[in-house]
Amino acid sequence: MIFAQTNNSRRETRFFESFEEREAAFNADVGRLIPGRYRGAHYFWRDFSRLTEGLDAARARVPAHITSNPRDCLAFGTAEQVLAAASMSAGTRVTGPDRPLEKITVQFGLEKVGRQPIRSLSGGETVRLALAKAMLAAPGTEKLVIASPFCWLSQHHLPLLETVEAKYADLGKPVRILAMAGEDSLAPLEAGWLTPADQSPQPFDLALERLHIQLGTPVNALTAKPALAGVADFHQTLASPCLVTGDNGQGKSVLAKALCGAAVARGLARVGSPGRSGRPRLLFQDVVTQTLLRSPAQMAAEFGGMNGRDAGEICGAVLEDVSNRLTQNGRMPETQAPGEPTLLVVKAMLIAVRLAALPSALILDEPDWGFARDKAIAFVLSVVRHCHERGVPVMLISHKPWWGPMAGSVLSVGKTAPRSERDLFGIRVERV
Amino acid sequence: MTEARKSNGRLPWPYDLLLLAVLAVPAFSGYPLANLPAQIVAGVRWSWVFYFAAIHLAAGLVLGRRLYANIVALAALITLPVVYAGAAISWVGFQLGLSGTGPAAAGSHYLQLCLTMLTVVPLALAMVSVVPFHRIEQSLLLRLDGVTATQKKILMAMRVFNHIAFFVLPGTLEVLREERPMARWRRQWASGKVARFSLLGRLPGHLVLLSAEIISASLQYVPLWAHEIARLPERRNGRTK
Repeated sequence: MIFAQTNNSRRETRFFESFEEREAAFNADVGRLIPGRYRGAHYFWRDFSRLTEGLDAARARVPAHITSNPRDCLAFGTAEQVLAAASMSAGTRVTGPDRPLEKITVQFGLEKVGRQPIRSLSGGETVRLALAKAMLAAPGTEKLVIASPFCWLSQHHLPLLETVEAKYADLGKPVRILAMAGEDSLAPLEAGWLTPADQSPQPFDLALERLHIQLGTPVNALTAKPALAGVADFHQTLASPCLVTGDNGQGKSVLAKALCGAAVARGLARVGSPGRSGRPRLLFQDVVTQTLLRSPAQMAAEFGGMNGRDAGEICGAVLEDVSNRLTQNGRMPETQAPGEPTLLVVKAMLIAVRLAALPSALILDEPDWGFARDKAIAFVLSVVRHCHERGVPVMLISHKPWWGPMAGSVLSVGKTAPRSERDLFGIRVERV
Repeated sequence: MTEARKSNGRLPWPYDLLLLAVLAVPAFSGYPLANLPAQIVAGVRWSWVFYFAAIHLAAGLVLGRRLYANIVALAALITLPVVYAGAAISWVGFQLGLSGTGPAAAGSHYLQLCLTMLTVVPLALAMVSVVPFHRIEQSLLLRLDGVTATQKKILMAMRVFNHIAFFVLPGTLEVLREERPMARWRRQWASGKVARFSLLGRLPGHLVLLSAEIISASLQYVPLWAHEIARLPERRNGRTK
């Protein structure tokens, strides 16, 4: 169901209550060129097979677009290539004494990263590159379609989106934004969401010492000494839920992955409550990737067995709590259609599997991704509550301004100059 | 990597690839390895021992110490499970009377297999690693007046390869590191017979799902990339189409 639709002189924004509807609408706009992998491998193959049969017809309708993960729409190896290709395809003049391509590069802050591989760009640089590409594609397309820009755009980069919109408006071409309901809200969550149980912060320790996080990929590490990010030492007792903030590309996700062991790192990175064993667990921003070891169907089957009973109970409790919170705040709870689990169910399953193992901490990386604002708030509050009931502290990574009223403590993560000769850059964590 | 190698005075990568390709001819053709029957032990020929040494010497010189060491480690990780699992299955088959090949014959067979794999697997990995795929991709869009049809095909191949090598596999490794499935499976294995049977029943499904998800992730954006690359103006005979 489309929640709302707004139109101004520059953009048409359609808001959706569910991730599935937003994805379907985006895919319809881009000629169904993205098979629905989030629905599972079986459905992916079905969509992909149909797609390859009608590729020419599908391709003819594709407008300029930015996917919900901006990196996915960058089809070439370097930033320079992406921009050159966008210009060539749009028939834009890219050479000449006024050096139009270089102007765009400088305008979007990409002058230093033009020849770097896309994979080495930070989140912020990737966002700016996707916007610059859309800017250059304007003359050669009928419209621009953007999926959930407010999920990946920090406030710092919003003026660049407006610059792109202005360009399309000048050319008389529409910009269509497909977003989750409330995704663009800058208001903190309302007090009515919080119950007394939600306002009982729990202490936990975060210790970072001589920490260097390996960057790049294993393929890079095969051939050369890997680049590192050096993290400034940090030892503090914090209060859960701890909100971790910072602009795009400042190292928040890199740090989270180092804490839970998903990234290779040297040095000390410890988070948890005193006396609690276990290791930290992480809910990735891209939860679809996290189901590659266990599909929702497999998790559901495990929940019914002896080894998965705890996780099954947690999953059910989280979903019920989310539904109750939405109802109590005058919102529509999600209805579960038989068959494919929704993104909410998948996230609840992944949380339940992790929480049942009683980790030393649970880290949520942009947990609002794919959710309408109300559902995101209900989900996060429910997860925090169930974690606290089990004595598990929570770290919440987000660039959204919603979470202040619920945070027990706030950290700011930022990039700094390299801390040693081997570091590509440094990361500093500060308590706000 | 290539810049560092140039500063070390090594050959440009096409020469390295040519050298390794020439060295690969005996492995593909069997000549002259099959024509030299002298054996060092039963089933293992001197020709393969010398060939093994030649391949590793060439790979070490071409790749440099770090990459060579990593490739040897990878080759061992691939070879040893295959050889030991194959030998174990042969032994079980012999014990059950399903196979007439006894330990002596099977032993020399798997010894030669081990030597062969430890020769050809590093050779194959070396041939792939000398090719600077990222530089090739970067060199394909240097001209701003269009691309040829051949360059479009190479761009697509490079995109898929680089996406798998630098996004899909690293992302999969991150998820695996966070999940630590081996530790979880070890705990389940240790918790009793019922849990073991349950784990053995679910394990194939998990592995099939992992493979399917990796393939899906590798292919997911191929249609979008095909659209982007197809839209590039085509350059033919020095003119833009």
